[in-house]
Amino acid sequence: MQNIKLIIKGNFWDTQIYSKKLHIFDINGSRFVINWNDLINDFSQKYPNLKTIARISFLESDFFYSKSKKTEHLYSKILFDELAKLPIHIDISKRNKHISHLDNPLPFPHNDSEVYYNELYISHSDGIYKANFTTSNYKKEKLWDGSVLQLSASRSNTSIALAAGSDGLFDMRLDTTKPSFFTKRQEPKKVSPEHCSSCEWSTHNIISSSYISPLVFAAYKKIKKNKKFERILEELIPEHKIFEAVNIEHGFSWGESDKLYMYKNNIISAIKITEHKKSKKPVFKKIKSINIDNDYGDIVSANVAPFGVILEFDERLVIIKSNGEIFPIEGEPVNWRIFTKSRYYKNQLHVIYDDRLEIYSFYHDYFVDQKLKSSGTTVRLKK
Amino acid sequence: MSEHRVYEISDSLYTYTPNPQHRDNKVGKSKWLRAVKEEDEFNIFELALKNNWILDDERNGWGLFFYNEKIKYLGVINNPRQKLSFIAKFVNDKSRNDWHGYPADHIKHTHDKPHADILNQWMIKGFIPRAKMRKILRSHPCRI
Repeated sequence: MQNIKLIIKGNFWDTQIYSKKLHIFDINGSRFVINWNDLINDFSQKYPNLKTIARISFLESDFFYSKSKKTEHLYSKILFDELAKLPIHIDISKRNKHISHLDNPLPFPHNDSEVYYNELYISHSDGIYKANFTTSNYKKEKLWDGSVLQLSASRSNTSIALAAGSDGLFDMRLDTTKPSFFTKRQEPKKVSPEHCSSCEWSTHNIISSSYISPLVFAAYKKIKKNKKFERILEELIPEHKIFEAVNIEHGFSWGESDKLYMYKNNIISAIKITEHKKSKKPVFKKIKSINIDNDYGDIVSANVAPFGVILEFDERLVIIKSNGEIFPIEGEPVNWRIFTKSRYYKNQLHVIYDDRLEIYSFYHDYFVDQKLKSSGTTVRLKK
Repeated sequence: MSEHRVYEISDSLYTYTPNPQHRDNKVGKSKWLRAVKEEDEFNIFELALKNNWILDDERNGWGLFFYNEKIKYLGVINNPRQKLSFIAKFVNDKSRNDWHGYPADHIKHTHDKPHADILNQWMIKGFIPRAKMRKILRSHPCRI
């Protein structure tokens, strides 16, 4: 199965895709804003037979997870493969009505960025900052002095999890019941003192991964208070209670949503997270492990999206696709990003190299049984 | 007792004294490589001063070790993910106005990670590529 790829030449640092716009930070910190839907629609006009496939691939990943749409329109792999054969290049140096170039009011270079309710949050050596992302009001606001390596926002939990390295894992709760410029926030609360290199959400729980310390699963319980749900930290579940309990040796571990992974000696052990029906506590069950069959060297970082597991090694990314295929992308990336929490861009992988941005659109997950997959988070099919 | 040297930073006088704990055989602290002599350590610090790779608080600074115009590893760190470091961290004991340095562990210790402004200078000058800058900023393992 081929992979659909779009290339934008330039010297970039980071990307975000949100609310029909692609934002690309260049190496000076300024930002290209591309009207993504218009750009893709313009491109797809040139290929009438692939118009719908292009839209689904780049603009509507929710199509892959809709029962009714799947029943009404069953697209064959051949059509996606046809699109994958096309060279898709966007030139942002030429005058293009869909592209604008804006200043970035926030400190640069940032460690990480995240978009949450129309606000751009960045973590920088000097702290966490935010600025409105969608209007021309670029007033920046400093939220915290702490040095944070990575941010992970959860819309349903109105909170941002903060991986603060040797300072641990923090939870920054936000109140979004008011307009964004009045958004209340609380001082970030330390969740775990253990070293935290990265963090992700598993429903209302937070997974803390580290190069130094074992993984920590921060398990919360949800209680109803004044017609609102509140999260209360119930237990910090250490790695050995999750992995050793099912005979998985210690290695580098990470996870998101309903999956946890442990990488050691070219084997990825997988665990599925469910919730106990009565106690509502997390339940960890070992599922089929994945053998990579190749020594790519020491792992640099890892993440998981619905389309599969992404492993970063020194000189390449390796995607373990949810259909079992292994797809190495050669070259040391400047940066890379997935959009697991977005509705329309779950299938995208953005990889920045020294001279270009490559946007991969994966479609194989459309043909995969969500309940059976080992590699990749499970997406619940909607009606 | 190591010798110290005197430097002027922002109209103030400071000393730099190599810390023997980063050169002994005891387990724990990060160690300078044997190939990186005390004279090299002074040179790495002087280069950091000359280029202003020192924070405004005059308490923290970072440096690189060049050999034949290329960045080289300068120390051994106590980290299972990465054994060698190519970044020097300098700290200033403000009570004595005395600096010392050691091989930084940017993965384990958040305060060892160079400030973004300094990393950006290194990237602009071509000392490190953007990919390495991102790895260091995110405290990922980073090899040269």
